[in-house]
Amino acid sequence: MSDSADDLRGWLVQRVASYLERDPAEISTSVSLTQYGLDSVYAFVMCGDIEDHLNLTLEPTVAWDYRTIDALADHLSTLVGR
Amino acid sequence: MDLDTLLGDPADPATLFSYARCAELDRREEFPEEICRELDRLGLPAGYVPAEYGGTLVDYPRLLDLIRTVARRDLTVAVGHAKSYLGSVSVWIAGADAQAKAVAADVIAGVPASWGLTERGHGSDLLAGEVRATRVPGGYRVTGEKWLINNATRGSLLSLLVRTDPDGGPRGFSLLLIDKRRLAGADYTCLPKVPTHGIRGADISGIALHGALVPESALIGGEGAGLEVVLKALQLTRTICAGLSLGAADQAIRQAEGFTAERRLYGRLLGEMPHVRRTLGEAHAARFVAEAVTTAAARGIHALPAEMSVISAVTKAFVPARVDELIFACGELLGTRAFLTEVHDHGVFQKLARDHRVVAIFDGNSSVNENALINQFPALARGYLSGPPDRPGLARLLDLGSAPGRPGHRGLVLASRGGCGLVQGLPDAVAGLSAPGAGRTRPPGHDLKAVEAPARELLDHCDDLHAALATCAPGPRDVPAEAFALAQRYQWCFAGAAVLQLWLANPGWRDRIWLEAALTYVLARLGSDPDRAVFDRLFDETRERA
Amino acid sequence: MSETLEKLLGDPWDPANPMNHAAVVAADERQEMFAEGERLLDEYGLNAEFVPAGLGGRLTGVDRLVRVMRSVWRRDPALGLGYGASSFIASVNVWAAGDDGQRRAFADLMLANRKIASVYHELAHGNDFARAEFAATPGPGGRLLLNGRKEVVTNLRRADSLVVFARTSAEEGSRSHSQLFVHKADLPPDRMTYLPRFPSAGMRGVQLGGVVFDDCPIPDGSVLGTPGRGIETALRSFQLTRTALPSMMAGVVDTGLRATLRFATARTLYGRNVAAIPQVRSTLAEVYADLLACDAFGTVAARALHLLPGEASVYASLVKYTVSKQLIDAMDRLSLVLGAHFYIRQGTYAVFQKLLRDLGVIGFGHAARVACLATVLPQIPQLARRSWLIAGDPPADLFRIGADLPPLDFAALRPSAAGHESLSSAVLADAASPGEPGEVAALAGLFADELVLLKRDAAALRPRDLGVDARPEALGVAARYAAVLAASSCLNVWRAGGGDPGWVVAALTRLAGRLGRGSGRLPEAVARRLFDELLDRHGENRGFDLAGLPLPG
Repeated sequence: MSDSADDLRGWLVQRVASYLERDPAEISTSVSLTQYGLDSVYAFVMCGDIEDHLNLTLEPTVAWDYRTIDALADHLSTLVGR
Repeated sequence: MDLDTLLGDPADPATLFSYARCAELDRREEFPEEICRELDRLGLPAGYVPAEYGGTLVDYPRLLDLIRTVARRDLTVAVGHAKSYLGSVSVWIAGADAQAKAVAADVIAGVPASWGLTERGHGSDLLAGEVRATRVPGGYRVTGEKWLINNATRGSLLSLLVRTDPDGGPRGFSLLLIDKRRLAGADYTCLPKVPTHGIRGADISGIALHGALVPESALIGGEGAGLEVVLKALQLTRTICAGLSLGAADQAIRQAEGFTAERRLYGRLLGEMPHVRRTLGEAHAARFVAEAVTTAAARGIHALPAEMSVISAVTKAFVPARVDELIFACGELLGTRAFLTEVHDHGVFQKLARDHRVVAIFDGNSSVNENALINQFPALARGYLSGPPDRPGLARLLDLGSAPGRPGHRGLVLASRGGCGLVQGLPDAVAGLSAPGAGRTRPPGHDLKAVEAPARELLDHCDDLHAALATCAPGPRDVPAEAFALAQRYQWCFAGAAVLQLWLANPGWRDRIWLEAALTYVLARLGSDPDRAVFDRLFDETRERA
Repeated sequence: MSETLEKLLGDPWDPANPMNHAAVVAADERQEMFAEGERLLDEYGLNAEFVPAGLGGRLTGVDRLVRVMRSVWRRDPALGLGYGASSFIASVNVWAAGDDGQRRAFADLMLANRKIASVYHELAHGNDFARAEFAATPGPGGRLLLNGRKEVVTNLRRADSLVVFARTSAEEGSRSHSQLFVHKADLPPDRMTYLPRFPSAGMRGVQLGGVVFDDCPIPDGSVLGTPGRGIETALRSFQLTRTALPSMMAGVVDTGLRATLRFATARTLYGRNVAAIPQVRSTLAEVYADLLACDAFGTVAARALHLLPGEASVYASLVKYTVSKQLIDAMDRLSLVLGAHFYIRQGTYAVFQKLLRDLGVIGFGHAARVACLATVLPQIPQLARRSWLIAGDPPADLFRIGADLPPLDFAALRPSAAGHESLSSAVLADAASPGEPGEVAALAGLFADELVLLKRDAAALRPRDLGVDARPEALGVAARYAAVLAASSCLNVWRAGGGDPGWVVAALTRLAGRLGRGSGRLPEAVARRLFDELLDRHGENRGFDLAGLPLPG
């Protein structure tokens, strides 16, 4: 699968919106996930979902290091592109 | 003004009966003498004395309320003060008129009374008692030692269980009302205070009698009546213990609610987190069920004294155990604060958690009470087939709007012949739910539809249980562990029957959600798997009221 | 070894032994640490148990560490916490994240019988340490300055050094905290103020302290590991402590059970021995079964730290959740047998009420039980998808109690198991041993059924259910899963060791009761078998755990 950063961003917005049970339109890609209330252990949920989606193995702390959807999407697209 | 208002703000250290002072007394293991004197001044002791002897005890539910109010602040005080009731109750049950009047005058004047049953090495096994009273001209010489006695040292009056027949046996014991003020100094020695896990300030001690001469007039009931009178008195005191438990439950819930309402964790108030709402909602349901059982027992003393052998055993085995669970659940919410002795209202929580454990031990622990139920299984099984033995009595018990009548001090019996009307009334009560016209007179929000299914489920459990009781008739020894399991199920069925019938008999008493939550609480423990979300709604309901 | 330590501690019931229960109770009454006990543990060099063998200590296996420490907890929980566990908790951060110099320094302090405090707790934030406010921020000269307060910290005052958890960045998120390893001697005394001791209802001898730092400079090089990695370090290293501490504390209930047995066999009630009353016998047998179940789960989880380190994040939190409640319940049930004697703070059985009070810390200390569930919950959907019912067999050594273990690899501990977990599926019928006794197979089947239901329920969890707003039913999925893991541990330890299935039937019956499958009561015949075994062990003075090693006396 070769997702572009934009595709990934869109997918992540959908995921985050579903975690928060909110409308995707309300999710900003430049706000830190912690501010949305996704705490340190919740980040593991997201990590698992990304792994399943992209079929790769990640550090469970990936969302700790890339703290916004933008940062995460950029990071993931590099990984996928490799 | 109600008692609580008269006692002042407990959170204010300047108040005499404050959390701060009780914490300090607990640290120093000192009896709350001043606080007890204040309770005397407010007239509490008269509440322990029946009206016919000059006191104000006409209504056990009210006495339970008083004890609960005191216990809510501090269990040590409640245990230390209410002991005068336990020390004198045998006289109300079996004493001669003149004797009762004299004891009444003392108790009302604030003279502490105590009740001496247990001995070192024998615990709850009263028939093994070794303190002996030997007949001499004009009375008895009493020799021996009673130990682990609440107020043995402070008490001037002692109702003492003594062996009057060297061979012992059920008719070999008698109760003597001993007035320490009339004994010579060499007649007795008070034993040292026993340091305890909780109620550290209480006077838990003992007394050794060295051939003390006691007049014949000190006999309560006749010679040989001791065990019988004690077993009847225990039916009352076991009910009283529930008041201690309810007070502890009030404080535990208060502490947990106060903390969770202001504590922020993970970016929100603790009290907004679903598992906290669930825990507190369930705690409310548990307390409500415990209240219903206690109310039934307290009114039962008036309305169904002949069934108190069952009702009091259920109450004593059930209520303290549920409240110990409730305290644990609240303690988990409080975390570290439940462990520290000087923070958070001066460590009131850890104190009540330690103090309350004694309630399960007092006046017969759960095994003793469950044994009492097991011995009555045949009557309970039979009675279930024939319905409540005393329907007018049951109706009076259930009608909270009516005065309960005179206390049945002299109507207590050792074993209920007809079983237990409250449980035996359940089939009719459940059938009535779907009768034509049922619920017509109920206010909005109190209709019956939603409770029909859980009520039927309760009845199914109750039917199954009684079928099992009918085939379980253990001998007096080697009672199998399964019989105790049945006795525990019986308590849950009783609790469900009490809460359902009290609710049905008193339209407008509590909103229906209380009944739904109560039945959920009961059914979950009987092995059903009800939807516990009702506890969350109950919690919200209590928040709105607060 | 634990035998050496037990020998040093001697018979706790011997009136002539200065290490006896009476001395332990007396220290508790004075609200002091048990000085004789501390001297003896110094002599034994207990701290070496926490130091990896590579650094000169005796830490080779966590299961072995638990066994040794259980002897300490069996004697005096205040020693267990105030002498032992407190430094142990601090140490795991250093082993997991420290550099060679820091590890060496820590090891040297430990081996010199010094105390090191683990300075995490802030009353205002409790288990939510991501919101800890205590800060270490660079001052004008670039050195880190400590600011803020820490409360209810064991040994704070008497420790020589501290492992401090501090916020090192103002940013939100999980990369804003660090652990610092500082020596009090390096701190200017006027920048550090101790708070009054926090007296407590249990662990009365343990010094729970507090401290306020005010622009307190610390030496360069105090940070453990990469700055900002503190939460990750905590999540990884505390897998050791969450696994080991509850399992050590089974020693408390071991003594509680022993005290109760002494009471029951010595006392006459209603004309016969209390231990002859069927209700008492089943209570004691059930407590014994609970202890064995706790030991099986705790030991398997401890071995998993070595053999399956990537999965340990799951087991550690769930051991803490399960074992803590089983032990508390066990003590409560024993207290009913003792009756009024449980309530008395003097005489032969006075130790019981102390143990009961001390054990209270197991519920909230180091992590509240519900916080343990919440830690695992976000992993559950992935675990269910990737592992439940389909995982391959765990290594056989996981269940071989006492078999040698590979050294602990701290770097292999992960903050999340990423869906990999092989213990639960091992509860499924073992094709290799079709001859399993019917009663064992039937009980195993209950837990296999439960795992099927759990997989269904895990798939139905909503995203919100995995976080702070989890419904109680969602937390319940984690709790039920914990029971399956405990059952699988018991079952497979028995399969690996063989022998009389009595204990495993009892342990599984008890665990099934916690799931609402059956009452949890032991059938009469099972209770009798187990009670007889218990009496034998009591008579022979052996431990009430799987190893059942001889005790002094």
